[in-house]
Amino acid sequence: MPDSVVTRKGQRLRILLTPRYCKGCGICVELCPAKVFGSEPATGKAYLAAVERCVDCGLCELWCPDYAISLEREANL
Amino acid sequence: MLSTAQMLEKYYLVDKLPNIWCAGCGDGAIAAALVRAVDELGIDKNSLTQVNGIGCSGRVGAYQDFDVIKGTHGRALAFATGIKLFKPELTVVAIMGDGDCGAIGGNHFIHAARRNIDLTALVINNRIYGMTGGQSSPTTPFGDRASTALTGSVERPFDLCQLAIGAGATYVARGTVYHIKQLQRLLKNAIAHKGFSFVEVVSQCPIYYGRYNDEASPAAMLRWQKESAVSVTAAQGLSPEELQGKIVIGEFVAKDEPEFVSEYQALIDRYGQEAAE
Amino acid sequence: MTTPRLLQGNEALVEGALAAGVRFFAGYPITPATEILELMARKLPRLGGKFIQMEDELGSMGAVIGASVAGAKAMTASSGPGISLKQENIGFAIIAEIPCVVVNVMRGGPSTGMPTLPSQMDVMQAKWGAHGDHPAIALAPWSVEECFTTAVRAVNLAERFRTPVTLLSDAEIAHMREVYAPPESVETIDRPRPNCPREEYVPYRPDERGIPAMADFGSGYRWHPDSNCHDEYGFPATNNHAVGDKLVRRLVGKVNDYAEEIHWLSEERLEDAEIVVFAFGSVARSASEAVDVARSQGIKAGLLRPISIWPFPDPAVAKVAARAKAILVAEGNLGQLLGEVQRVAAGRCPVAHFSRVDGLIPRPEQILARIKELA
Repeated sequence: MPDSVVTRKGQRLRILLTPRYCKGCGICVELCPAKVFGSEPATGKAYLAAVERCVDCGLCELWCPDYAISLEREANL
Repeated sequence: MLSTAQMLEKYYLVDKLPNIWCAGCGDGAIAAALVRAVDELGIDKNSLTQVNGIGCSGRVGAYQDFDVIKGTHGRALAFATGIKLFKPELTVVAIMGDGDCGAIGGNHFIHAARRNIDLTALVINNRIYGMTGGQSSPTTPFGDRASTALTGSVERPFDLCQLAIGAGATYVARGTVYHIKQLQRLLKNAIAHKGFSFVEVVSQCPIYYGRYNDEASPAAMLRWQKESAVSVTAAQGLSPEELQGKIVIGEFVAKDEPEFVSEYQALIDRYGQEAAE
Repeated sequence: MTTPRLLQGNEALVEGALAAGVRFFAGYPITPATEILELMARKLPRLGGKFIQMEDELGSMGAVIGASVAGAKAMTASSGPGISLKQENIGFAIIAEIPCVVVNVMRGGPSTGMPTLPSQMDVMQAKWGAHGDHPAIALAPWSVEECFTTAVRAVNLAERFRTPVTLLSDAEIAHMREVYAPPESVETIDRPRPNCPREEYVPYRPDERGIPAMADFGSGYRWHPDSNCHDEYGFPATNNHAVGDKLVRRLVGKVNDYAEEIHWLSEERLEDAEIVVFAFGSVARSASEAVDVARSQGIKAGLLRPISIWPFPDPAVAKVAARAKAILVAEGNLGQLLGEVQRVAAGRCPVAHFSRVDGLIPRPEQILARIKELA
C-alpha cells in the first residue's frame, strides 16, 4: 500500500488501518490536526483521505480505542 | 514506543478483538497507554499482574496477555493486596472504574492507600456507571444528568485524587484520554513508584454520559477534556471558583514513605534472625 | 507425636492449618474467631508466611483469593456476620476455582444474633451462602483434636478440589481446652499445577476428574481467572448457553461426583442400634453421652456423627435408615439437617428432631429423654 506511506522527520511512516477493529467513533477523523482521515459514508469507518497531510504527531494511534490505527516506522517497513 | 501493531503482537490476545467497548469509549486507549508504559519500563510480562474490577473497565485485562484476575465489584484492591503481599516480586496493577473504586470499593481504596502497599491503582473515571446503562456515580458532577438523576445530580461528587491524598497515597496523579502521552508518563511513574500509586484518568462515555449530558460525540468529549484541563502548577494560582468545572491534571504527590510489604518482609527477616541466634 | 499439651480449639485449628501448609491468612476481628486471627498474626511471619488484618471481611476474603492465585495455601476465619459479608468472594472462589479455607466459628441468630454463644445455625449457609448453583464442602470438628485434623483435611480438600472449604466450629469447640499431642507432620495435598509448555496450557480445561490445573500467578502461564461464566480459556462467555451449562454442571459435579472421597463420619455403637442419633459438633458431644447412658439403661442407641457435613453423607444415612427403628436428628438449629436426613431416609424409618437454639448446647439428659420417647 504505497499510498499509505509518507516520509516524515527523515523516516518513512506507514499508516496502517485495520477496518475490522474500527467502530467508526470518529475520534481520528475529527481530532487529527492534519485531517488525514475521512469517514466512509456507509459504515462510518475511518479511511485514509489525505495521507500526505500527516504531520506524524502520533496521536491517532494512541487515541484510537479500538487499535485500528498503527503507525509503522521505517525500521519495520 | 511500540506501534499499535507491535503492541498487539507482543501483549494482546488478538483473537479476542475487536474489544467489547462502545464506539468512542476511552477504555481501549487507556488500556494501550498502560501496556506501553509497562513495555517502556521493561517489565517482563510474566511478572506484571493485573487485577480488574467489574464494569466496563473490568474488561481491560481480558484482551491482554498477562496474569489477570477479574475479581468482584469493588474488590480489585483487596485481591491485589493478597497477590502483592504473598508474592512481592510481582508488579501489580489494579484497574477500576469510578463506581468500582469510589463507591462499592471505597473502603479498600482508602485502606490500600493508608497501608502504602506497593500497588498501582488505575481508575478510569467516566463519571457514570456505563455497563449498567448510565446511573450516577460518586464522580458524577453536581447537576449533571444520569439515568438515576434525570434532572441533574443533587449529590456532591468525590475528587478521587484528593481522597487518595487524604488517605495517604504516596503517588497521586490525574490524566485524561486527550492528554494520552502525558498519561503514559504518569502511568510509568506510578508503576515505578514504590508505594501505593493512584492514577485517575478522566475518560469519556459517549453512549451514556454523553447522551444524558448532550455531549454525544466522542471527539467532542475529548475536546472538552482538552479545554477543561489545567495543570497542577497552574491550578495552584487559581481560586476555587476559577477551578470550578476544570480538570486538574499532572502529579499531585510523589513521596517516599514506609511501604507495607517491605515492612512486613523486615518483620519476617527479624524473626528469622532471632530464630537463627 | 509431639508432647501432649493443653490446647484451645482455635489454637489447634491454627496448628492444623499451618501443618497442612497454610502460609497466608487475611481476616478481621470477630468473636469467637479472633484467636485464630491473633495466632496467625503471631505465627505466620515466623514461618515466612504472610498475615494481614484487612479493613473488612469482604477485603479479607479478597486478599485470600489473591494470595491463593499467587500460589499460597490461604485461609480466613470469622463468625456469622463476617461470613455473610464474605459470601460474595466465596462465590468468586467457587466459579474461578480458587482453593481456600473459610472457618466459621458459628454463633446463634440472624445478624449479630447471640454474640457469641454456640449454635449450629449456619449449616445451610455453608452450603447455600453464595448465590447461584455451586458445590459445597464443609467439615465440622467436635473436639480440640478434630480442630487440628479437620483443619488439615480442609486445606487438603480445598487443594484437591480447587474450591473453598468451610470449617464449621462454634464457641464451645473453639474455646474449650483439651490435652492433645499434634502429630509431628501430616499428609498434605497440593493443587494440580500445569507442567506443560505455556502454549499448551488451557487454564480451565479439566482433567478426567473435572479439575483443571492451576498455575501460580507469576509462573509464566499467564491466565485469567474470571468471575463471569467463562470458557476453557477463562474468557467471559456470558451469553453462551452451552458454555454456561457446561461450567455450572462441572463445578457441581467435580465435588458431588467424588463425594465419597470427602465423606468422613464417626460411628458409635451403631452395629445393633435401633435409635440412631444424628448429630455433629458440640451437640454431638452431648448426644454421645446420651447414647452411653441409654445403653446403660438397656436402650439400643447409637450415634452417627458427620465430620464432613457437605456434601451430605447420603450413603451413611441411607444405610442407617434401612435398619433403624428411628433416627433422632439433634442439632443447634431448627431443622437445617433434619430436612436432609428426611430426604435420604425417604420414609424408610421415622425421623425425629431435637433442637436447642438458646445459645446453650443441649444437656445429655435432654437428648436422652427424646431417645427414650422413641425407644
